[in-house]
Amino acid sequence: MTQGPAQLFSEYIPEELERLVAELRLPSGPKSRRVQNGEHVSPQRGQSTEFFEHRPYQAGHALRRIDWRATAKTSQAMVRYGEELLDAPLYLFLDSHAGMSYQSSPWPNRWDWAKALVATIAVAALRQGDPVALFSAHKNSHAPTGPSRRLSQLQAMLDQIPSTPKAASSQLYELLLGWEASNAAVGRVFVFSDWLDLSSVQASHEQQSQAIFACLERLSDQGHQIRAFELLHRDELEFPQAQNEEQALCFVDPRGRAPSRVGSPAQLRQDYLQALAEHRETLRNRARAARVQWLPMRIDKDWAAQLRSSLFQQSGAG
Amino acid sequence: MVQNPWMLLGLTAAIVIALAHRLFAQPAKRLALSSIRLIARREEQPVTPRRWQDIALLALRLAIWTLLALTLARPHCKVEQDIELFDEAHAALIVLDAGARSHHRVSGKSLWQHSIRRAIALIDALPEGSWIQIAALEARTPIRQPGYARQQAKALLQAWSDNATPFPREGLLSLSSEISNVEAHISLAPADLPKVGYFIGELDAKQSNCPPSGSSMKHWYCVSSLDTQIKISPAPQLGLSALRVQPAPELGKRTFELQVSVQNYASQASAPRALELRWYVDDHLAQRQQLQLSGTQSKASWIYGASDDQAHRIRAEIAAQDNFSPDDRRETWLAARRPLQILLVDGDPSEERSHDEVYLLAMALRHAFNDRGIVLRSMDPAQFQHALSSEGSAPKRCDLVVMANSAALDKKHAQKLEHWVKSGVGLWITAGNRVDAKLYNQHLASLLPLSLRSGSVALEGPVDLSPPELSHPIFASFSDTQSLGGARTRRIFLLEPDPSRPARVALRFSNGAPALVTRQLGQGRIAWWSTSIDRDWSELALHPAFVGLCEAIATWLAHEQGPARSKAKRDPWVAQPILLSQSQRVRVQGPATDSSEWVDAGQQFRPRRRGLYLTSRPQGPGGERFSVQLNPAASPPPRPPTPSSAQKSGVRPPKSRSHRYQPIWSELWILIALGLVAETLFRILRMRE
Repeated sequence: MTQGPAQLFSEYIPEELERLVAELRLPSGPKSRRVQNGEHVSPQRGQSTEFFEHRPYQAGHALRRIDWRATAKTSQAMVRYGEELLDAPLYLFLDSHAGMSYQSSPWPNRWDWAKALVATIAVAALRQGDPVALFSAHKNSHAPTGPSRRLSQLQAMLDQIPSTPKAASSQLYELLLGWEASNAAVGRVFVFSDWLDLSSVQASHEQQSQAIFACLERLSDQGHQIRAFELLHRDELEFPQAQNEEQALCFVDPRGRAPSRVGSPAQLRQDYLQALAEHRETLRNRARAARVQWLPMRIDKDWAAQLRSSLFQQSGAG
Repeated sequence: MVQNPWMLLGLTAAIVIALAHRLFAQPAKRLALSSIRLIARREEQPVTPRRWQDIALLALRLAIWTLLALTLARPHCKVEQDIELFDEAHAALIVLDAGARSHHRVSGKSLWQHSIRRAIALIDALPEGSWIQIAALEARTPIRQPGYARQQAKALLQAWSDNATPFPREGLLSLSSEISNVEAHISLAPADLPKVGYFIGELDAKQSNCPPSGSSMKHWYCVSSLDTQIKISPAPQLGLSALRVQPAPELGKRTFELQVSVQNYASQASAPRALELRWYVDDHLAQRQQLQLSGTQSKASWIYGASDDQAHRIRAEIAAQDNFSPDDRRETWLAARRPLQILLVDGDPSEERSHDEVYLLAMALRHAFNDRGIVLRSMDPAQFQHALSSEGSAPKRCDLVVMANSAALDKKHAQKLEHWVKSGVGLWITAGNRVDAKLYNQHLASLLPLSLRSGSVALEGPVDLSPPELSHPIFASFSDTQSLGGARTRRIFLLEPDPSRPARVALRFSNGAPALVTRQLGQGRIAWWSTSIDRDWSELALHPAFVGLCEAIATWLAHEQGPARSKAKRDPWVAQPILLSQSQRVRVQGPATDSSEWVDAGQQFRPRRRGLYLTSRPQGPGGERFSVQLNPAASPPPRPPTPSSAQKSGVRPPKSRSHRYQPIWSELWILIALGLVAETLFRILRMRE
């Protein structure tokens, strides 16, 4: 390899994040007793060769983690929770509904921003020697061979991300549910989305939101370390600006499902901001309940600083 | 007040502007926002409030549109006008320009109608007690009565206005050139009223035609028949040039080639245009021709073959459909007559031409038949006798033989001459010292109307010619009969009265002796003139009426009709002598204030000026008034101006003014331009915001 990973993925990693790739070291959990391949110790307890503790079996626990001897002794199904001695894979989930491509001058497209963040984290993980898997809502959404430490594999995964998201609704729930069923190795799960409208054709936003966080909670129970990145645009946080306060604005659903809203900024802004605050508060509460580390980011701030602080932020996680 | 009220409908278009402003201004900004779920849906449609700039812009646009509609409606404003009126009663002479240019149409009405409208407005503004007279700047203006009441004057003007072609006249007349005729209208105004003239017509840029020069009236006010200067549009202005006639004997005896050219007077050459040229004969359509007018001129000709010798009116006409119609037609009289051929037998050639009968006669006949065409042949009696022998009983090239102071023919040639006359040749025998009564009675008895007495008679005193026998066909078209009175005659031939002969006395001397006696023989006519044509016996040849008398006699003898040419030549409005009173002497006050003369009882008054005349008698009832129309071409030149009664009375300066309507659309165009500039600046400022 004659080029560094950052140079290799310069197509996906913008200039302001290139330096971060070299500096960034992904956070780890409690220190491992035996460091095998990775330089850090997996933060998750679970499958390991050294026993740590037993917990009653709950739905969603992998069957291979059932300790049959303890089960026989206690007459109930018990699973082992031990310090992860193997490498902690990094699972990256990128929501790819059409609303992710919001753009408003002078800032770049949110979809490009999200892809840059994903690529930066993925390359940083590979530099640490962690296997990486990337999931996005496209026809080949799953990584072909699961987590991998190969740059070419990562390259293939990034190439499969569409240049423009066109999904009419968020497929985040389907992605997580499908991945959960695969009983993947315990690792770190990073979810990237705007979390603004998770509704689908069959379910409302509220129903989908509850289902997603329930899934995340189960994953947390399985020992995954989950971080949810909330990627928001300035317009979404502070309401779009018009030429003047009296100019009418016509809001349309980028997914083409919700009816349009028409009004002047003065009429709509206050209600919107209040609804947005309630929405975000609900998400934070659900994340806290699901032991998901909630990491809001906004496009109009320093991307590197936000990412660095988000990765090493300890609060908000379950 | 607008000239084009239909354009006011354009004001309704302002509504369109308002709607467009409402519909198309500030469209809603469209945003695809992922968080649309968090935006509350509103039941009511949002109404985008306008900033004050929007209101101002809308008002500005509406103002521009309103001004545009008003401008196209051609508004007028009422302003103080340049017609100055006296606020005291005065004698107002209103003169209207009525030349051919009055046909020019502006805003759907002719200039003549515009003038009428202005004149009626002027009459309405005249103070009470004013004396009103109306005249048109045209020589044939009828003078109905001296002075009009206000309503009468307006009614007369309205009648003139309703007449589509009131005073068709070629060429232009200026007020200055016609001032003497125009002022004749105001001569009968009350002397105590100041006289003021108002000229209503097309004023040139410097108003050089008004006030008139040489006017005896001090006060003249010039009023344009229009409110604006006429601008000649560059649109095609088509007209016919003068009609030219050329005989075409190679094509026929009565065949003529008529030529006319269609002229485009526009300053810019227009596209080729098809025109139909129509030829009329006596108002009957005779020929249609299709012309292609390209450039400025296109010529056309038509071969006309007359069916008879009568005069016919030929008219060429196009449908130019421009603003000036008088030049769309040209007409002329045309008669397929051959020249009148007269044979003059000079019985007493004189060494001095001015004393020669034939010379005097030829001069008169040439002048009289100048338009008609005449061929004169002069010969002595011997040559005449040879001609009688050689040309047989019916000469081919002779319509009339004049034996002027000629000796009697011998019987043989007299018989040949009798054959000539019976075949239609006219014979005019004039007396003189070469006339031998005995030989005439012997050889020419069958030709003479009456037998001659022994010889010529020297009168005791010169006699004049009496008024002619107007029933005689010679004088049917002769209007200068009264002017024969001054021709003195000293020697005459007397005639033997003979009721058995078919003779008719057409003219007598004042002593009762026949001067002109005529008879019919076969198809020919014979006239006997009892005195000499030259100046030996009579002064008739020096009299102005001699030409007319010769023409009348020759015309009748040569079987010429009372020609239309004669009618056209003699305008019917030439002043005629008037017999005012048979019983007493009458004083006649003429149109000029200082012209008056006495006319004895039974005498005829000979007017010299056109205008109104007032007669007064020393005894008896008051005078009578009559009007005289006179050919201005024959009238004496205008008299030098004399101090008018207005000057003498010291007319006070004008105190009151009436109003006129002045167009203001040019100012509106400026406002529109300013509005558009402001609107543009407004838009630029908004774009910068």
